[in-house]
Amino acid sequence: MTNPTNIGRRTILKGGAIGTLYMAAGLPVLAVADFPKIEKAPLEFVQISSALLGIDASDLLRQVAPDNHSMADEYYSIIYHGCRSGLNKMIAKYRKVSRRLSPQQIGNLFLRADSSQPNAGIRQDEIGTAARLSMQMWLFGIWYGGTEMNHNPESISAIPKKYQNDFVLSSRAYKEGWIWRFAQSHPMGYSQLKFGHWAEPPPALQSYMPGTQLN
Amino acid sequence: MSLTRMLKTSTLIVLMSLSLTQPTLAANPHKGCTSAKPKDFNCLPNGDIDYVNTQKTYDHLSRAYADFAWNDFLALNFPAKEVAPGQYLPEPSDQYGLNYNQGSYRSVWQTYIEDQDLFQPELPEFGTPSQIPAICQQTHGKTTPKVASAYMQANRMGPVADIDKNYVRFNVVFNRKMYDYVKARRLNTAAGQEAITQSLEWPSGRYADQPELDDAGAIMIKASWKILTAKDTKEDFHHIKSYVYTKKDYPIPGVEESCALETLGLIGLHIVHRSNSAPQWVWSTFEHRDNAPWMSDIKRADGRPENKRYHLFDSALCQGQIGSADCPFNRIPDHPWNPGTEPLKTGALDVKTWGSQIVRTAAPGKAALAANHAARKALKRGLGKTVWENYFLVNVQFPTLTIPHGNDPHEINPAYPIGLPSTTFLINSSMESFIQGFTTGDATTNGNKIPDSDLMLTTGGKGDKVDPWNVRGPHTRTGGANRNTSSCVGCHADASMVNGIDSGFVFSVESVLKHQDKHQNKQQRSKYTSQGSKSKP
Repeated sequence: MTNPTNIGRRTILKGGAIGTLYMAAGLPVLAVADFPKIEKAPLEFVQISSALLGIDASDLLRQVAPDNHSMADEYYSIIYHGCRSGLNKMIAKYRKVSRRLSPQQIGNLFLRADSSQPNAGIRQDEIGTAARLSMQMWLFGIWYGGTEMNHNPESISAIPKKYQNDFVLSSRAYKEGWIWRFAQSHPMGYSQLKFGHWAEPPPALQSYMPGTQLN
Repeated sequence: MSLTRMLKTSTLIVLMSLSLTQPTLAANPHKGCTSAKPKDFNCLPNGDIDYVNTQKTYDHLSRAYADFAWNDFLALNFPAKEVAPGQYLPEPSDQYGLNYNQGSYRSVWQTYIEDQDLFQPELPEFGTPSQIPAICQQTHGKTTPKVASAYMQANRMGPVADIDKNYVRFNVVFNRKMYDYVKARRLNTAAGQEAITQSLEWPSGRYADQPELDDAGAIMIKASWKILTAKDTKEDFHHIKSYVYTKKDYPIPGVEESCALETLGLIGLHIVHRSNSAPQWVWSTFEHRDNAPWMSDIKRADGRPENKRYHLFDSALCQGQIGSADCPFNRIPDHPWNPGTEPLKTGALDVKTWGSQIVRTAAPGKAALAANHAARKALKRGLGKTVWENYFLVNVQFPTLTIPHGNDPHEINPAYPIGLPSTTFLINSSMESFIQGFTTGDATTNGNKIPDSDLMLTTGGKGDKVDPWNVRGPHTRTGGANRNTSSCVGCHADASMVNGIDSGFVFSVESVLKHQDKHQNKQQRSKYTSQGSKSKP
């Protein structure tokens, strides 16, 4: 595994509340010193993410976020530096098609090699790479640059060397991963649910994404 | 005219003339309050922020809650109305203001009921002074109704020792609204709590242009006090005369019962206020400016703190770089946690033995800086010098995710019952001294570096020392680990009644078990844990 500058095995936490969060993944956490300058996420990035994930943009980008920290900005900042060409092409494409395609169709367009064929396989160009990497950040709080290259060797040209590996963006990104909400659950050591919640059925999925139309 | 009739007539004349000279209290019951307060603040706590007319951005909401916290702070610290010598009402005085008596007076919140008085089987009337322990009366007479005893920080983290080697003392009080709620439901008894089958919903305050007395909703307060010595300037503090009582064999066997009559200086205040826009409550905390140095200032000065007198940090004992063996900080005092133990009493200068050497890991929040600046300006403009200019808001924690209904009660989203609070972590250096979050250079128990994103840092205001009243100064970038770093609402969300049902963020309800027979306690605990559902192990 190629590591970005300043990140080595020593940054992997092996104990404590934070350490256990990452043991399963075995991934390093990006140091603040290595974090790129925060870029303000354009609305199109949030809308594309909404189409890819099936979650309403109002749930992804709430008006008021804890500590005024925008996860959209955090993810956008990473992909802006980690796959800029793919990101720009994806946004440009979105602007062309967003008025005539549904979110489902946009998702298929960015993820499938042939959006008209359900078994067409993954889209392997820069747009496909950017789409997958964006989704995975929202879902897991992890940049999967290394995994992307392993499964899609063509993506090597889309991802600069510093981002050609997998790492956790931040503990906040890990905790805020949508995968936990899809599971109506929470990561170890972090929960917005109260003591004793395990004795009750989990909250309804709709409660986790009040702005999203669920089927 | 008969003598009787003349007496009746003259009595009537006297009464009529008295009524003409009385202030028209019915029309404006807080007239004195109005004239003696800083212009921009109410003398009564408001029920809520004006949620409807506050822009729904982070900056606007956080500032609204910070101002709300300051209004609470000033209103609750207002001199209480004295109706007879030594008898006070839980409302602001119409004679005195916040500049009264150089900060030494009974404040409104000090008329509220203490937790040990509220959660006992025989509920006293609201306003009844606490029982004075016999040893205090025997040793010092009936000098003051105030008793400070608690010295363990939340979750039995340990005591914190001040620079004069006394433990900081705490007390917790509840307002009338909370008292009435407890009384109506018999929450002061285990049987009363057992009969409750749903989560507690404490009274909630609603915004009003002109707040009314006793209409603010539920308010609970925790205060931290320093025993003032000849080395302290008492006029820098809000200060009161109080017994400092130490209970026998608590928290450990061997603690001797004792009682001293001391002057206590307020060094920290938590104000917790339930409002319509914040069903998870609004959590604000204030500190005295001289409690402890700031970590960022120490690091800027090459690892050595400024040589000045802090309440909780002795610069003379820091003989090396901060964090080295010669300058430990934020240390829980060694056992035994006994205020009468050596070397606390002998004053032996061995920080390795008695601790605590508290350092603040981060500055106040950004909105808090602005609110502090505004409050201090208003105080100076309205009243000149007061002790209150020495206190600052550290930060305020409010829910960012509820189901809003304008200025009416917001609903709790069941997927986010804690409300995704902001600021995520919140600490008072005198009350959550040892769970302030991680700082640069910290490592896990396995020796691995704490991720940078989890550090509690001071940021902004390049080159500036921390100044809680500087709007453009350094402020906190919050970071920490849940269940490890202090979060008011994160921890209080675990609060439950004796039957395991959610007590609405109020821990003190559990203390009813203390007042029952020990054997019965054990039986009750077994009963609750054997139910297996939400009971604590």
